[in-house]
Amino acid sequence: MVESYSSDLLARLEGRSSLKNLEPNLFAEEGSPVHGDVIEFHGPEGTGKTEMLYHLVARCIIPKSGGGLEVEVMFIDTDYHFDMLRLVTILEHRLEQSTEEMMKRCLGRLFLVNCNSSTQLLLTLYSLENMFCTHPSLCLLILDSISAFYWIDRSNGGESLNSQEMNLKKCANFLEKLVREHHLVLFATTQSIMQKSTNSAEGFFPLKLQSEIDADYRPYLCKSWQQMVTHRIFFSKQFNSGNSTGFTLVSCHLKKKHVAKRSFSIAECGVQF
Amino acid sequence: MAAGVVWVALKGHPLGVTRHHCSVGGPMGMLRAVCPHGPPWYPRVRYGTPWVPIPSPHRSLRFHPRSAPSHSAGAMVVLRAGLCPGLTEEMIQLLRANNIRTVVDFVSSDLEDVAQSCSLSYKLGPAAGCGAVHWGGDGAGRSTGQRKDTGVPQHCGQRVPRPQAARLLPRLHRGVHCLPTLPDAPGPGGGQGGAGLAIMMQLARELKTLAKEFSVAVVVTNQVTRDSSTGALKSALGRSWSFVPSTRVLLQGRAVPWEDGAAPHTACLAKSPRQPTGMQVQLDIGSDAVQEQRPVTPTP
Repeated sequence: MVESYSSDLLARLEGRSSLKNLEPNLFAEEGSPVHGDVIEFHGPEGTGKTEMLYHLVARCIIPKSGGGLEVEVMFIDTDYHFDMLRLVTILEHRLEQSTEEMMKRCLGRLFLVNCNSSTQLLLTLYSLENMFCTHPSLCLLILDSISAFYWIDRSNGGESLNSQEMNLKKCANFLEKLVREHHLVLFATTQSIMQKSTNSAEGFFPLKLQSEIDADYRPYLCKSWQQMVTHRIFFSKQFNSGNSTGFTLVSCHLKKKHVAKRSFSIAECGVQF
Repeated sequence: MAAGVVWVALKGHPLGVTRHHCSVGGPMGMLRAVCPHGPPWYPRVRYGTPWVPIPSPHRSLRFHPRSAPSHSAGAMVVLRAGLCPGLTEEMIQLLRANNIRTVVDFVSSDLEDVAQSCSLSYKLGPAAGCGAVHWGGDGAGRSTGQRKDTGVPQHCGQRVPRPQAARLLPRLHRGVHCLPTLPDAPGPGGGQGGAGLAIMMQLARELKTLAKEFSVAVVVTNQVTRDSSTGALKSALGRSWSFVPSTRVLLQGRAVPWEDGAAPHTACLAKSPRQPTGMQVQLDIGSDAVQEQRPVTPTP
């Protein structure tokens, strides 16, 4: 009993440390996520958020011999967005030998779930708890997107803000518990469905950073979610020189107030910095 | 000049999705081989993606995503006697006395506490939880597995009420499913709940479910407007809708309709999950049909 516990623990610690070189460009100063980090991708449509998630998935599921991290990923898709063919194309470009056997092994490290409502998301999260117990190398959780049910929940909640936000609040609380107890890193996307508030003195970022962040950002999800996010990354398209594949991301570490701006493009093989 | 935006292009067309529907060989065939077939009520994803094998310790919930309740019903699915074996009226009363009324209450509670305070047998408690979640209906008592014969298909030009969308599919041919211009959905409106937007997002969700579950391409037409600040073209129906389509084709017509040889109709790929944007083709809309001309070089 003790042996299996400690080997499980070691496996988990091993899995945790192996997210070290996930994608340094996404993290302002420290270069890699720490277990317990909750990273939010925010931006309008067509700005590369889902492509960035495919990039992270590919980085994780490719074996170490192929330059990847060889860890398992759980991907929760809430709006039927996930495109398996696109992921396979990216993997084909990144693997030296993209044989069927190799593909199967890579895809065997990806777990994919669809959810169609916030209640279903909540129940799914409860049911997935055991996945994390039984798969120590499952250390990345992706949620695309967490804002998909916003209008429907608002409409169902009637007049009370509390009941409108109840489901998402429960999801956020449970996600926090999962991330903490199983030492995960969570990436979640949120869509920019609200216009920037005209009152810019809302205190989200110090003025120094405000100029860096050219983002049309107005938080609208429940407080429980806002409070658990550790990094927020804003995505936007570059409109200069007719380069249709140019994108920008601005990465903010919310506690340390570090900011970094990066450019990237999206090619057949996925995100390229 | 009529300019429109069409969602999802056509199968076989250079701007379109082609590999999505292949079932033999190719990437899809290979992917299917990866997936072991588990019981239908394990959470899973179709189209050959890796199945999620959920082991069954005491907290596991076995439910099929499609048989799970709808958004509004879900929160309200009240535990009732007979929902699963072992869930008796007496147990329901005990649970209610401990503030556990709905399925969500049950699964989010601590089972050990519940077992103790309700004096439930511990084995029975989890089984009741598992069974309660494995409902076969949509929360309103209907089985989503049933397909009723609806007579005339109602897909064109009509707003399809929510539960009926899935029932239409056996009567439609696979392939392309077209909807005319989307109904005007009001914006968030005076503060209370954004009902119009909710309806629009629910419609979007139904369309996506149709597309995914039944392997059809769904094509929707929409208008374009100009962005007030940048002056760029953007699709109508606002930001929330803009996230819904996976592919977007911009159609533009003649600038001067009465002159021959004026700028022809073009179709431009504005958004795609798999192809670079900017690709353009010229269309010749004659009296018989739309004919495709050679591709034009994209304008920056």
